[in-house]
Amino acid sequence: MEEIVIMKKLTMLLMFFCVGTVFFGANLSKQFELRQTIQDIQSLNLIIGLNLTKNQLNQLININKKIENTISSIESRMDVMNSKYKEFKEGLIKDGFELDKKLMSETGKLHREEIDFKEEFKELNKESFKKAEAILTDAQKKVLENYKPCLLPTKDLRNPARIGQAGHGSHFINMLRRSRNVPDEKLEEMIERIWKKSERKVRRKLKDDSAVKKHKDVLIEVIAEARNMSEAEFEINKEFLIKRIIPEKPKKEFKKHGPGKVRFLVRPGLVAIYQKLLAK
Amino acid sequence: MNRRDFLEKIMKFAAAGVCTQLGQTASLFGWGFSGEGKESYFYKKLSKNLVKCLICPHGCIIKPGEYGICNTRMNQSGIEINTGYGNPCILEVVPIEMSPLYHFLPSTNAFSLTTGGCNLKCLYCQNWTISQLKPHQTRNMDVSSVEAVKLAEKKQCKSIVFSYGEPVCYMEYADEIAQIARGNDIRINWVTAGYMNKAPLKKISRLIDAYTVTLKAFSDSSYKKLTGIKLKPVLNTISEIQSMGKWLEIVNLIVPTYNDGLKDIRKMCRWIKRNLGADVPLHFGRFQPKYKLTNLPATPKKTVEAARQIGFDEGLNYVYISNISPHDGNNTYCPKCGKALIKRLGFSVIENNLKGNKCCKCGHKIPGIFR
Repeated sequence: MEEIVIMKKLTMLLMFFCVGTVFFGANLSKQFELRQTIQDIQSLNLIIGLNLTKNQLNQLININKKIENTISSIESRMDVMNSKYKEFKEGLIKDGFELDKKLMSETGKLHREEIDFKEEFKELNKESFKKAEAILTDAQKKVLENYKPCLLPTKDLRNPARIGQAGHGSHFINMLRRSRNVPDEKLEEMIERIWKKSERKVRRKLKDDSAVKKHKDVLIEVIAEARNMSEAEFEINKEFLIKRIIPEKPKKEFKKHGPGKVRFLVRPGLVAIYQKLLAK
Repeated sequence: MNRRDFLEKIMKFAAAGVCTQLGQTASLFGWGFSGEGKESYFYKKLSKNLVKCLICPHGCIIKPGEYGICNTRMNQSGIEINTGYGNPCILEVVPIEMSPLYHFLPSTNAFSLTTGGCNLKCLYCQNWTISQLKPHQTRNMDVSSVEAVKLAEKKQCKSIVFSYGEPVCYMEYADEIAQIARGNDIRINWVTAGYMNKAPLKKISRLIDAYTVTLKAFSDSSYKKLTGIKLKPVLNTISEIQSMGKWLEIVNLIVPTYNDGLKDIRKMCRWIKRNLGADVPLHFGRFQPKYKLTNLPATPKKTVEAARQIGFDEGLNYVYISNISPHDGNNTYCPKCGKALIKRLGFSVIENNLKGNKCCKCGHKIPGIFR
C-alpha cells in the first residue's frame, strides 16, 4: 500500500518536473522552439490586425512585462530545483524507494515551492488576461473573439476586420461554380473526387464518424442546390451556400471559462515584439 | 418637304415608338434584349454614322463598330448602344456600410450590381478586372431589370446599390431597375466617381436616394495622373447632387505619393465644409497595392489618421476611416456630446445608440436617412 502511495507521489513529481521544464521555457527542445515561433507569428497577425493604439501597446507591454519578470524571478530557484530533482533521480536509480530521508524532505519542500509558484503564476495569468481584455475596444474584442489563428495572413480587402486572419471560402465557391457545369452522368464521379480531397481535412475537424458522414451528405445537398440555381441566384447565394460546407470544429464548452483568444496577446516573449512594433 | 418625305418620316417615327415600347414591355417581363444592349439615353447622331456620346465630359465621338472610352457604349450603325444593359457581371448582397454609406439605413443589406466598363482609368483600381473590360469580356449573367429587383426583394434588401464600376456607364439599365425598385419600396444608391454630364445626372437623380462620390484627389495634376480626368467636373457633380437635396457621402482613397499631401487634404476638407456643409460625411480610405500601382506600399495608418484629424480640425462633423478596422474612425460620434452613436467593425454595426435619428444622450439630430 505504502509503495503505491510513493509511486503515485513520484509520478506526480516527475509530471510536475516535465511540465515545469516546458512551462518555464528551460531546456527548450527544437520542437518547442518552433512552436514558440509559430505562436509569435500567430500573435503578431492578431496584434497587427487589431490596429492597437500606442497607448494600448504600452499597456500590453506593462502587462506582459509583469509576467516575464515573474518568470525570471523564479529562474534562479529553478536551477536549485533542477539540481535537487536530478539528485533525487540518481538516488532513485541507486537505492530504489529506500531513499535518503533528508533528500526526500528537501525535494518535497522544493516541490511545494514549485506548486505554490504555479498557483501564483496561474493567478497572475488570469489577472493579466482580464487586464488585457479590458484595454480593448468593443470592436477589437469582437475581432479577438472571432480570430482564426494563421501563419500566412490573407488580405481580405472586402472585410477589413478580417485582415491578418486565416482565409476562408473562395476555393469552395470555385468548386461549386465548377460543379454547376458538370454533366449529370459525371456528377457522382466529381463528388467522389472532391470528397477524396477534402475528407482528411473534414475528419481532422469533426473527428466523429457520424458527423463526417453528415458533412458529406450536406456537401452533396449543397452541390445539388447550386446546380439547380440560375446564374444570378447562384451569385447572390454563393456565400450562404459555402457557409454550410466549410467544416467548423465544434466549440468546446470549457473555452468559455478558459483564457480564450486573449492568450495570443499575453504570453512570455511578447514584450520584445510589442516594443519593436511601438518603435516602428 | 414633299408629301412622300413627310409620310416616310411619320412612318419611321411611329415604328421607332412601337419598337421602344415593345422593348420596355419585354424587359419589364424579363424577356430578352440581354446581350444586345439598349440605345443610349444621351447621344447625338453626327454625319457619316458617327455618334457623340453625351453621358460624361469625355464626349467621345464614336465610329461605327467602335466603343467609347468607357468600353460600354458602342456605335452600332449610327446608333449608340449601351452594351452592358441586362448583363451584370456582379450581383451581391452586401452590408450598406460597404458602399460606404454610414448615415443611410445602418446595418441593412443592399443588393449590389454592376456591369463591365468604366469611364475612368484609375491606376489603383480595385476592380480593374471588371472596370477595364468591355461588358462582353466579363463573366456575365442575363438578368432583366425585373429579375434584378425580384432577387433584391427575395434577399430582403432595403436598397439597391449601383457600384464597383461607374454606374453612369450602364445608366439605361440602372434607370430601369431603379424605376421598378422604387415601386417596390426599395431605395436606390449610386456609387460614382462623379464624372458625368448634368443631363444624365438630373435624369437619374429623380430615382436616387443616396450618392457616394469618390473624390480621388484635390488637384488637377493628381487627378489627371491617377485617373485620367480633371477635378472640376467631379466637383460640379458633387455640388449639383447637394443642391438637389440628395443624401451624399464622399470617399477619398489616400494613395502614397499621389494624393497623400496633407495640404491638399486640408484644401479638400475646406471645400467640402464651405460648399456642402459640415454634415456631409467624409470617408478616408487606405490604398492597398493593386492594378498598376503594385510598386507602392499600402497607405500608412498614420497618414489616414492624420487626414481624419484634418477633417475634424476643418470643422467637418463626420469624418471616417472606412477600410481600416477595428478603428475608432469606423464609428459615428455625436458632434455635440461625443457619445459613440454607431459602433462599427469593418462593415458591420456592432452597436447602434441612435434614437430614431437623434443622439440617445443629448438629443442632437444626426443627418442622414435612418428609416
